[in-house]
Amino acid sequence: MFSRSIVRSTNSISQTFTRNVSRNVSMSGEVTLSNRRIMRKIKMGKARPAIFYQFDTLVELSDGSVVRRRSQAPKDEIRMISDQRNSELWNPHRSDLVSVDPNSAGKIQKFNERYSLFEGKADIPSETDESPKQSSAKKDDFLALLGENATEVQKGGKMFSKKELKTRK
Amino acid sequence: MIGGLRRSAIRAYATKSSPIISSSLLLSRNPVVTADLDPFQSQFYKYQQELWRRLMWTFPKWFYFREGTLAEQRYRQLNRDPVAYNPDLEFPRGKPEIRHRRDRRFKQEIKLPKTYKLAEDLAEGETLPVVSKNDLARQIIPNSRITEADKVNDLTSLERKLSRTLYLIINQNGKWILPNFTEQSSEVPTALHKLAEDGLYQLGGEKINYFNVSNTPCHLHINQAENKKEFIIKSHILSGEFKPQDESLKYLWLTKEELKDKLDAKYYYEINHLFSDV
Repeated sequence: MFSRSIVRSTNSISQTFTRNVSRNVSMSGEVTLSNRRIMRKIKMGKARPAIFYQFDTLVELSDGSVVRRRSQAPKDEIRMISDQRNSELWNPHRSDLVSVDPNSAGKIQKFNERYSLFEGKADIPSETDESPKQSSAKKDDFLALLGENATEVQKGGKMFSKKELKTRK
Repeated sequence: MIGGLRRSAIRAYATKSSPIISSSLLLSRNPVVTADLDPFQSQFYKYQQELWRRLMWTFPKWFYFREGTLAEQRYRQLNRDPVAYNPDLEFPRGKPEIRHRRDRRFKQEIKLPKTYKLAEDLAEGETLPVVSKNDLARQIIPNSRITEADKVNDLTSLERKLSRTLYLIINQNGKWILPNFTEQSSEVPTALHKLAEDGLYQLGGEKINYFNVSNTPCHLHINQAENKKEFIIKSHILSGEFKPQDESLKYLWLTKEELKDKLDAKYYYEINHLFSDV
């Protein structure tokens, strides 16, 4: 009786491990093995962990605190301009937050500063040393301007439209 | 009858007036920086770090620096190729084994171009340019773990011992205790945690951002001398300034070890499980 039960159990195992690739349907209690991957035994001492090259990176957060971490990217010093320390989302009760424009030190800003005269605009001040009070005042000013009689400035040439043609006639 | 009298007399002797219910505040400042490592721990981490570095794969330069770009040129100037093996030469320190421009026998160490000038790169007679504080390209220097308060050993500063948990204690009648608050008027009973929170503001001003862990007290200390029941309420100071409202108030921010010296031995033994070892 004992031997019979063993035979039965081995039978059931061989049944469950059949490969049903052609059917492409997995039945309950069935294990399908992939044909692609051939398992090779890794010998003792031959296993190498997959460790990509990592740099020791110093990350300076916007409030001046520095965190040391590993990173795969080739940068060993990262300065965050806007992060959780000066984001209003994470600091809802703070009113003294100064948010810096992330593009203030970039190439585009430099270009704008240099060639702003050609656009007919007043020179763009760098936003790094601007207090939040000033910026808010400026915003109000802009809103007031919009509230009066703001008209769209036509920059390009006049576009042809059938409607205008009709009205002209 | 005599027996009954006697019993009542004993009973009258044993019963005191009902104890005063008060709440004590266990206010802690949690660590700001990572814990200090003991020499063994630091050695262990150094060993693991070196092992990790040795097992690292070669830096995929071809992935990050495109051939022929300025960045790649700068990278190549900093990281010179190792000397390749030559059968005509003798290599007393072993044969170099070069794969992908890296000697496989050793860990790879890569230098990256900096956004600022280093002191060692300067030519003779040149001085380091003055870097403004707002310059985004300035060097990142980690802040010191030892603060000004540590240097002058200012025990009343919240900025001391950044790697440890600090607890607030005050001096009352020449004895160091956790700040204890009793209700003034017993008309409407105040909740214990409310009592502690109001007391904190009275002690240290309202410019404190605190977090009360629970309304339930974490410990009951029975003060026999003053016939008091002191319920200890646990709270953390998150930000803000502790400014004593009363000029004569003596207070300290101390770690667990320092508390042992300051607090009464019996008192400390009773409540030391509430203090953090870190």
